[in-house]
Amino acid sequence: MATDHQNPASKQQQSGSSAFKLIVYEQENFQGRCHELTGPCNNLQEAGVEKVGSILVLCGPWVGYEQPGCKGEQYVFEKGEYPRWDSWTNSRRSDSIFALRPIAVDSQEHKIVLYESPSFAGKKIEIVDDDVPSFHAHGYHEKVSSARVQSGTWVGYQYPGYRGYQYLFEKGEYKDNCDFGAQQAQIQSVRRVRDMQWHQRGAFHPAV
Amino acid sequence: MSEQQGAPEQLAAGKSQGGAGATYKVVLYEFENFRGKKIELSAECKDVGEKNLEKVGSIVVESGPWVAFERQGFAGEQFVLEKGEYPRWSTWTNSQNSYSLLSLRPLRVDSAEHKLQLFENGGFAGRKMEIVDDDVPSLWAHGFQDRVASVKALNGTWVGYMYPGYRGRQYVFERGDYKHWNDWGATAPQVQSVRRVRDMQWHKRGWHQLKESGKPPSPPSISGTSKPWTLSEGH
Repeated sequence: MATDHQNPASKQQQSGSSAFKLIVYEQENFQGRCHELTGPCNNLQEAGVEKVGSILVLCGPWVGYEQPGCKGEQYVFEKGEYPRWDSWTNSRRSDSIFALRPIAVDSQEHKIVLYESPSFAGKKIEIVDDDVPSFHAHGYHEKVSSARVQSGTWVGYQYPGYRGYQYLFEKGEYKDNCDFGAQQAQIQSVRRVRDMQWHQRGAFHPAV
Repeated sequence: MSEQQGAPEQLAAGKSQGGAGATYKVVLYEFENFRGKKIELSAECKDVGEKNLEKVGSIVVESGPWVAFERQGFAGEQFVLEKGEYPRWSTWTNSQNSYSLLSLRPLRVDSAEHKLQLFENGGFAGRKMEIVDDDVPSLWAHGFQDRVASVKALNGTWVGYMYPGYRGRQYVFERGDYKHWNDWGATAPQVQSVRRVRDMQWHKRGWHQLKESGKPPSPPSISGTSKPWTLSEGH
């Protein structure tokens, strides 16, 4: 089954067309039975995936969940290779992934506002078109209990430097920390989810 | 202090953090959740044990960034510590291979510009990827799916990671040439994401815009409705 996957470089990214693709391998290091996904799967086991040992993301980004039905801990997958469960989790709480779905990154602009209290109250921090590895370094020492994403897709993290539990923020409102899957109202870093398909601009020059 | 603005110390009231006279401060606690014996450091420490701290259970970075190491003498696995709170060891290590942290030093971020070159082969040969003033959560997504065997950090300080999304072991790239992946502490030529180390102390321009020019936002002790703190990218 894993025929044409030795050479991911040959897979062209179709900019403009949202072609998501990832391969799930039942064993570590891209071995064992593999399954190709091009769309959401709410229950991997029901779809015939016994377990997720490693993942190759050919075209993303995707988000994986610890439990079926897109519940539980979240893991963001950008294009690349993830040879073991500890390559996608920061928390190391659980090695299971039971659901996966593509993340729509449909905006070139990114704007998020995070609030200290639920229902968008209290002190807030607004971030536009940038990543923030440390909220404390920007004068925001409060909890994060609610958020409004005006554009773009973001990932929040419990600790600075994009560590700890990952919380995906898609466009919309999150009134309470449970709405973004957090048991505690703590976020200390946040970044945009960007992918070459949509963010062709930027300062990358793969010089040959 | 040669500061452009009047009072850039909006971060922690009373704690001075200048641009030119940069100050670093970290508090190490013996136990998790900021309990037990503690020591304060404002400069490098080759061996935390020499300061009579048996082990590091939690950390508060009051002014950074710092880079900490698994072993004494700045050796072993690296942990980049930006300003914030780290309540237990699993919050600063990405690999969770070792719970020891035995040395640390300030991470100099002496340039507001950032330029990094990654090479497929050692000795700066083969296919190359150049990154200027941005973070790259997935090198593959930008067309660079090769291994990373050597690196030139031309400007600024960077952190590379084994896996996409800034996961896996961390490798600090300070300004300089790294001919071989062993030079940055890696046992394999694999880097899948890379980002700049930035800190408010140095990156006042571009990176964020203060609503009233020259006037810093209010300190965190403000109550009631907030003053938005806007950050935006300055390409």
